[in-house]
Amino acid sequence: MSAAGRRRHDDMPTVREIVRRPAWVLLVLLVALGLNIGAAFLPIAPFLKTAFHLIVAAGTVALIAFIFMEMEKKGPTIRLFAAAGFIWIAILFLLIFSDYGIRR
Amino acid sequence: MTAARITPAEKAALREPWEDIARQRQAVELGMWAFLASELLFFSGLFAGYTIYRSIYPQAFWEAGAETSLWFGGANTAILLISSAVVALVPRAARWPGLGRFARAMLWIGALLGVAFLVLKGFEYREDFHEHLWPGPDFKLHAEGAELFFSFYWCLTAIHAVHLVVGICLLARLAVAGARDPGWFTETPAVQATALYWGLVDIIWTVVFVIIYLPGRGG
Repeated sequence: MSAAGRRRHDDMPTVREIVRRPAWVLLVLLVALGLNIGAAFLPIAPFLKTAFHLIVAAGTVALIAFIFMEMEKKGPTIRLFAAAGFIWIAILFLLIFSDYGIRR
Repeated sequence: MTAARITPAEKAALREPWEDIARQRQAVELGMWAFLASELLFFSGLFAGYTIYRSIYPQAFWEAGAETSLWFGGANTAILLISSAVVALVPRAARWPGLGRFARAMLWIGALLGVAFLVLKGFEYREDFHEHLWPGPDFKLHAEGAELFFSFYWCLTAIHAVHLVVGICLLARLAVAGARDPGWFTETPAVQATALYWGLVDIIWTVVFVIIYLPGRGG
């Protein structure tokens, strides 16, 4: 059975059904952006601000990857490939902070 | 699975060495994620350099960050987030012949939002040059390390902009090719690959925005 044959016209989603989820996620991301910008002006230690910014950024990246880029629907092989870049970056920064992070 | 069962639309989208479109789609997606991982590592070199120099010159990076335009940076971040949501609709819709026009419209809207990002970036760069924020003899700031911050600013934003230009071309190319051959458009894995690339462009910008535009605010 071809891929087109499996897709019956009756199963076709409406535009509203397609838009709903990404639209909600977009709303969350825009609120997160607003929170991040607002937090930048709080009178707290720069270290805490930076940590907050990076946590919000990590959440934003996760939502883009899982929902917008549909990683949530993928099998373990594609997830492994997708995670590879992030894992190597994590190792890179672990090595950097094992030196620069503890310098006085 | 035999070649006789392949529809004309699938035949148009099928490439060597694959014998059926489902496998081609899986392979393209896997290869695309591997490519995106390599792109992340490409940018991670700049992120790592930024992190090291920020740990050496924390005060200068803080002062220099306050000189960037949060208005331009914030507006462009919102534009890219909206464009990502719009482009995310394309693979969800393109596989249904009845939604092909909608999917192609989303491609054009995504491309136009990308162009809007570049236009704002152009205005921002003009302001930066006017403010003498290009590292060199007339550089505005005097703190040691501030020039390094702006070296990262120019490198990161310019390389990201190059990626965005490539993304805009890919979106437009897909929209044009899809309008010419709607059958091909429902089957080609290029739809998924292009949407993934656009997602990565947004992911990179999310990090760039946080490390370039947010430091130094609020005193």
